[in-house]
Amino acid sequence: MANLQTNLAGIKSPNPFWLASAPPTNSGYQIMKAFDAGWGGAVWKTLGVPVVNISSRYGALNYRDNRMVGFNNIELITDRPLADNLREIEEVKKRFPDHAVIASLMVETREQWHQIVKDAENAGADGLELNFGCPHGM
Amino acid sequence: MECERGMGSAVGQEPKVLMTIVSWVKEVAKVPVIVKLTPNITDITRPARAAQEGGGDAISLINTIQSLIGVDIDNFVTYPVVDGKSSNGGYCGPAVKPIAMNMLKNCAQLPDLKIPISGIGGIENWRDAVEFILLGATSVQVCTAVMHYGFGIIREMVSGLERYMDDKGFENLDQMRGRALPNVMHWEDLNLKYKVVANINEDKCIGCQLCYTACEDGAHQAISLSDDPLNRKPTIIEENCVGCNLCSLVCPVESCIEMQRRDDGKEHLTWKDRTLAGNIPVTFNDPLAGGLHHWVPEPAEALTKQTPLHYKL
Ligand SMILES: Cc1cc2nc3c(=O)[nH]c(=O)nc-3n(C[C@H](O)[C@H](O)[C@H](O)COP(=O)(O)O)c2cc1C
Ligand SMILES: Cc1cc2nc3c(=O)[nH]c(=O)nc-3n(C[C@H](O)[C@H](O)[C@H](O)COP(=O)(O)O)c2cc1C
Ligand code: SF4
Ligand code: SF4
Repeated sequence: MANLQTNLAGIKSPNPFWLASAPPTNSGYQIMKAFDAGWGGAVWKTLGVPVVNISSRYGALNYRDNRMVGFNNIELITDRPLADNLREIEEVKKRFPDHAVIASLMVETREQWHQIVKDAENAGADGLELNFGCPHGM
Repeated sequence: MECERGMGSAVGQEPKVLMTIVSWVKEVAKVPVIVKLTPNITDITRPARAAQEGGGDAISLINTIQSLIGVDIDNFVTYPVVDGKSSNGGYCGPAVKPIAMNMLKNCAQLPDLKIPISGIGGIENWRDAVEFILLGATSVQVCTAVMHYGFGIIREMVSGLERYMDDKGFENLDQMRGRALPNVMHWEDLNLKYKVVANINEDKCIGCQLCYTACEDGAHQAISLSDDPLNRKPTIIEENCVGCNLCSLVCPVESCIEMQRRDDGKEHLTWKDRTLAGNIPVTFNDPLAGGLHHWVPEPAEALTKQTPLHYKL
């Protein structure tokens, strides 16, 4: 049987399938459920200074009989406090030490970057993903 | 240019700023750093290179593409509607996959880009993942498909990838990564002597005539209908067929129209070769024009409104 072990620049996962940073990676609950289902890694919903999201967030392009062939959102990064996310990262890593948990980050100043990098590493993140595209493409 | 809160695309669109921020992160980071690129830029290779120069250990792409998904034509506002107003959003899902793959290829083919790539954009099954890996992705990321169908799609993705690798004899992902990259070339390096024509498999044809309409109005008038009203199966007029593939793409029956090779495979001549040999058209009425001797119907035949029998058969 083919070996699906993946190693991206030192970030290891049992298979190459990761969840992208987005609503499915908003919480430890979701990521544990995903790992349990067989996902190899997850990039946590982008961490930073929590935002305030709006209600009515998504739109879809339906094509003939097919729903959602294109998807559009006006969401921002995480709206949850950093400490909550960090605690859950730690919990996920404890239960799934061999799965890849990558912290997506987006902040402004050098000091903020330094702080959040250390926080994410202390929580046990296996890697960092720097989000240089606004979540909704602005 | 500023993304609200002064982050995001504004940074992703400025390779120098991106590089600076990556280097800030690398001043302290102990774990590998992936730089996620925005596709809202003309040349994706510039931020990709900047990510590497700043010390990034990998790149991932793509994030969402700026978009308006639709307009509510009764209330004159775009979707999604927020209290009668809206805003531009970020586009993702199956529709963005071709754009993501092109950007992935552009980065993966850069000889000086040594860092690995995590591929993102429209992936929803094992086949999509295989395509991204063959174009150079080390890992793949999924968002929309999970928002649509849930985490359970992973079972099919994993087993499909395993089956594919076993079928192809790949023992690990390293053996398959980037295997399609050497075959994606510049247009001027493709073989002009290669010649395919459409062929209709009569046993499979259901007589819908979609191919006829497409070729007649949208391509090169190379498909004819029968005089016999009881026979709805069209015929390819090979000498008119330029081998564009259109009919085979519109035909609703799997492998009913197949493109068959007609050259003997012995000759190889590219646009680049012809340019170097001074053998390309350069004047407006150049005798080297590719379509010079290609038959087209007389313009006025369009108005006869008869079953087209105008083909030079
Ligand atoms: C609702 C929504 C929210 C997203 N939020 C983030 C985010 O916080 N950070 C990020 O890096 N990407 C975010 N993305 C982008 C996804 O991670 C991914 O790059 C994009 O959706 C393309 O993948 P897909 O076609 O599989 O959805 C978001 C996407 C969606 C649909
Ligand atoms: C096969 C093909 C050839 C095209 N050639 C030209 C061209 O010669 N000049 C041009 O301005 N646009 C050309 N286009 C672009 C179209 O005019 C049009 O801008 C594009 O296809 C988007 O419209 P659509 O979504 O209705 O196809 C071409 C498109 C296709 C598919
Ligand atoms: S390949 Fe193109 S030109 Fe040839 S028959 Fe089909 S649509 Fe017409
Ligand atoms: S589109 Fe396909 S099925 Fe329909 S008439 Fe043409 S060949 Fe036959």
